[in-house]
Amino acid sequence: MPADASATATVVRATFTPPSERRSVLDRAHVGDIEGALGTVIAFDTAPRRSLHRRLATLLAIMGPGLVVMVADNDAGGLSIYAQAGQNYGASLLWVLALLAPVLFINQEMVARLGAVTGAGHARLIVERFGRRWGAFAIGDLLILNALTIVTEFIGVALALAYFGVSRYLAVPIAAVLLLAFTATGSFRRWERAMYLLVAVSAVVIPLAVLSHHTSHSTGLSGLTPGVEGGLSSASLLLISALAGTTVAPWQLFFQQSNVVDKRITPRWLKYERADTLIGTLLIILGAVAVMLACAWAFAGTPAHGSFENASAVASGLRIHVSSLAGTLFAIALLDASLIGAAAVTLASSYAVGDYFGFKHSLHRGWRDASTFHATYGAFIALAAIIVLIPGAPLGLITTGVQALAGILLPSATVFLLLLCNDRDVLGPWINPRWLNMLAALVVGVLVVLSTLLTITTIFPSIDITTLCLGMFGALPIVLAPAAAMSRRRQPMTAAARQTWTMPPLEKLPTPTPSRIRQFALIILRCQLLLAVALLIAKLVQLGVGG
Amino acid sequence: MTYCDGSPPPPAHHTRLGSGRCGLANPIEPTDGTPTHAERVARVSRDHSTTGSLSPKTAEAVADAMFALSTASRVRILGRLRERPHTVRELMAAVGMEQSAVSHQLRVLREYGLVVAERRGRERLYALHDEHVASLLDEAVGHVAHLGQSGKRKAKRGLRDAG
Repeated sequence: MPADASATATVVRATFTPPSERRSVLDRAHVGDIEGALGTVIAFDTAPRRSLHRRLATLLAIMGPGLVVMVADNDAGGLSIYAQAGQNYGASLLWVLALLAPVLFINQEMVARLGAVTGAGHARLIVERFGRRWGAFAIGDLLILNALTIVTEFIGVALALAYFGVSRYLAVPIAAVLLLAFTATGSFRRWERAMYLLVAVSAVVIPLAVLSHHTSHSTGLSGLTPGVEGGLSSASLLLISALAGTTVAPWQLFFQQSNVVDKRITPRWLKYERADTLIGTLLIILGAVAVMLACAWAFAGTPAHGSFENASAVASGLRIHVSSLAGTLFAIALLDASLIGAAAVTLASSYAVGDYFGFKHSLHRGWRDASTFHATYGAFIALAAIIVLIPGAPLGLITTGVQALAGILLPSATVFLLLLCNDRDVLGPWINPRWLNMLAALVVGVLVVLSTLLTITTIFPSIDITTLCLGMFGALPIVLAPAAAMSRRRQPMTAAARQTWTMPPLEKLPTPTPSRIRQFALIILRCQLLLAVALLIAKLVQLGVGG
Repeated sequence: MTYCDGSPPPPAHHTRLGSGRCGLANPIEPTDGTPTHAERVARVSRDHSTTGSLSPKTAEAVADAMFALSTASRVRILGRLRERPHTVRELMAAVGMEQSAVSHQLRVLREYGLVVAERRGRERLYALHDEHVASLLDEAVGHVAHLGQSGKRKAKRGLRDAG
C-alpha cells in the first residue's frame, strides 16, 4: 500500500520537526508553546481546526498582539486629538477615522506577517537588509521618540488623576510601579492578562458617548462625507495630519512584530493573527469614534465648542455640560489609555534594544534571566516619570517633539516595511501580492506626505500649509509609480509548505539584490531625511537668532 | 508530554574538567555570600541525580546554553576561543567574518553565559566562561564525529521503525 506508507511518513516528519521548533529566532524563549491570556496552543499541535469551537479556542489563545497594539494606540495623545477633533469640529471629521482604519490594518498586517515568518524584530531586519547605518538611525530615532511618547503618557496619568484630586507626585510614581509590575513577573500570560484588563476598561468611552448623546441638543451625524466644519483651513489640515500622525505611529510597527515573535506565533497561525489585527482595528476605530462623538455632542452649541485646551479641560467640560459621571468616565478613559500606551511603547523600546543588540528579549523571562531587557524597560519608565515630575519641564515642547520626530521616522519605517514585504529571501512564499503592493504603496505615500507635512508645520507653524499640501500631494504619483512595478511573482507552493516555511537563519541570508526600485526608495528616503534635518537645523538657527 | 523522560542521562562532564586552557583567571568565583562555583555544580548534579530528571528551571537554562551553540558562526568562534582567548580583531581574521558580525555573536555568547570578556588596554579579550564550555564543545564535536561513522544510518533506521 504505497499511498498509506507515504501518508505515515508525512505524519512522522511532522511529529518530529514541528515548524515552530525549526524556525530561527534571536532569543530561545521565542520558540515553544503559545501561552496567551485566554488559552494555550502546544508547539507541535498544528493539526487542522475543523470545528467552530476549536477555531474559536485557537483564536482566543492567539489573539493579543493585534488587539493590544491597536488599543494602546488610543493612548493619551490619541485620546486628546480625538477629543480636540470632536470639540472643535463636531462630528465632521469622522470620515478621517474611516480612512485610517484600512491604513492601520494594512500596516499592522504586514509587520505581523514579517514577525511570524522571520522570527526577528523590525529593527534587526532593517539592519540585516539595509545596513547598519539605517538600522542605527531607525533604532536611535525610535528610542528617542518612544522616550518622549512615554513622557506624554505620564502627563496623561497626571492629568487624569488630578481630576480626582490626586497629586502628581503620588500619581506618577504609583503608575510607574504598576507599569513595572506588568512585565517583571516573567510570564507572558500574566502580562497579556493585565493588558486585557486595560483593554476592557477602555470600553468606558462607549457609555460616555451614550451619556453625551442623551444630553446633547444637536445629534446629527454629518461626518461620514468628506468635509470639514467651517471649511478647509490651515488649522483643520494640521489637525487631520495630527490625527493620522498619532493613529499611525512608528512604535506600533516595531511593537507588533516583536510581540508576535515573542508570543511564538508561526506562519501556521497567520490567519488567526490577521483576525486578531482586524478585531483590534475595529476596536480602535470604535473607541476613537466614541470619544470624538462624545465631545462633539457634549460641546455642540456651548461656548467651549471650537476652543480645545487640553485633556483635563475636556474632562471638566464634560462634567459641566453633561454630568459629573461623564467627566469621571473621561478621566478613567484617559488614565487607562495612558497606562496601556505607556506599557506598549516602553515594551516596544526594550524589545527593540534586545533585538538590535542581541540581548535576551522576551516577556517569558524574569528579571534575573533577561536583566538588560527589564533594565531598559525600567530605565524608560523611570526617565519619563522623572521628567514629568520636574517642576517647569518643557512638556509642551515634548509633545511637539513627538510629532516632529514621528514624522521623521515614519516614512523610512513604512518604506522599509514595504521593501521587506517584497524581499523573497526574507518572506519567501509570504511576500506581498501585487494588489496589496499597490494599496500599501498608496498608504505609504499618503502617510509620508502627511507626516512630512506635520513635521514641517510643527517646526515652522507660520508656513502656508494649504499650498504645501497641494504641492506635496501633486508630487505623490511620481513616487508611487515605481511601487507598482515592484511586485514579484510568488513562488508556487502548496498551502502546507507555505505554512511551514520560515526564514532561514539571518546569517545564511544572501545579500539583498540591488534592484532599481530599492535604490530609488533609498535615495528618496535620504532626501527626505536630509530635508528634515535641514529643517530642524534651520529651526534651531531661527530660535538662536530670535532668542 | 513525557518525551523528555527515558532519555539516557548526559555524561557527568563536571567530573572530567578540562585542562583550564581558556587562560583567564576563573571569573565566576564570587567573593561575597553567594554560592561558589563548586557549590553550584554540586547542587545542579544533586538535582540531576536524585530526581532522575532535571528541574524545569535547570532544563530552561540548559536549553538556553544549547541555543547559544545553535548557530554555526558562534560555534566557530567558540572553537577559536577553545584554543586561547582572542580579541575581536583576531577573531575576525580567524573566522573570516566582519567586525559587526563577530561583535554581535560575541554579545549573544556573553548574554547566554558561554563567553566572558576582560579589558586589556584598549581592547577586550574574550575567553570561554569556564572549562565546562570547553568540554561541552568537545563532547559536541565528538558526538558529531561519531554520527558521521554510524550514527546517521542508525538514526534513520530508528525513524523508520518508529513510523
